[in-house]
Amino acid sequence: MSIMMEPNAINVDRTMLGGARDVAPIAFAALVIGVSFGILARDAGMGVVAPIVMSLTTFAGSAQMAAATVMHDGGAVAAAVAAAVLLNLRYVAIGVSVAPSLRGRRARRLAESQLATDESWAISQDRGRVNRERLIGAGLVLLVAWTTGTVAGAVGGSALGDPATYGFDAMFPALFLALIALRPERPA
Amino acid sequence: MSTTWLIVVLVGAATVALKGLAPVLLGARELPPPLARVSGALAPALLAALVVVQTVGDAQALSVDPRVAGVAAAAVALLLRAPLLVVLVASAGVAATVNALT
Repeated sequence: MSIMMEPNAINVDRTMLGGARDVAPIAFAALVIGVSFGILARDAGMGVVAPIVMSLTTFAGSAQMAAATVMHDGGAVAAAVAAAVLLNLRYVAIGVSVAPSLRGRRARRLAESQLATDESWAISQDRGRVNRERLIGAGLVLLVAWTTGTVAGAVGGSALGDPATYGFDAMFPALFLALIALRPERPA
Repeated sequence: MSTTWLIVVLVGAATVALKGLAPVLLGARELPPPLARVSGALAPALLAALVVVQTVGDAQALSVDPRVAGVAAAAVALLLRAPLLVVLVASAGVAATVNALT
């Protein structure tokens, strides 16, 4: 959290481990929201395996929620895809911001860019740039948390019931609000 | 291919492309500062829109439900400079409580 609270702090750990450690509270939220997605997707008739594959490959919570919601309401394939793609258009902007920090050839840059999420992007802000090591460390932890939550929700969701009972549905907008509020200042 | 898998494949491919577009096409080139500032400001602005959609959005309509109380609790916790974990637990706890009471 230190980098988000004190954007110009000099004691920020600029390693993958540092990013992994600082993203821990956000990863807790990603786990819980992943459970909600798993339950929603299964209720939407997506089965167990497809939501898990989606969390591993799409790795973007709001778009996955939107696609599952459209399916749940019996919407068309085109509507589900369009909802998800519109939400994920912001990743073009995030990609532009991440691009100068990535390394290597195109295939490697493409792979590393997939670890950019709203959360890992926020955690990796460092003096007006994205820190590649923190982005990767935070992104990997988030991917594990998000997918683990999805597995738990898709497999065990029926025992848990409605995520709203636990207030899980409020945690997603609350997390985004926190990402905005704790956003690092731009350099002067 | 079933409808479900078609959606998983299409959304997955589109997201991989959207995330990777700039890193693959731009390479490691530095952006002109004005463009860098815009891209840095765009994501938080879009996040703000997502907060609204996920707080009062329903499939096709607006809905005022316990999520609003949960997000309000998160806002108060953020103003009080509470740690992130406290902010998140407060949002879920308040939303769950309002959900149980209504």
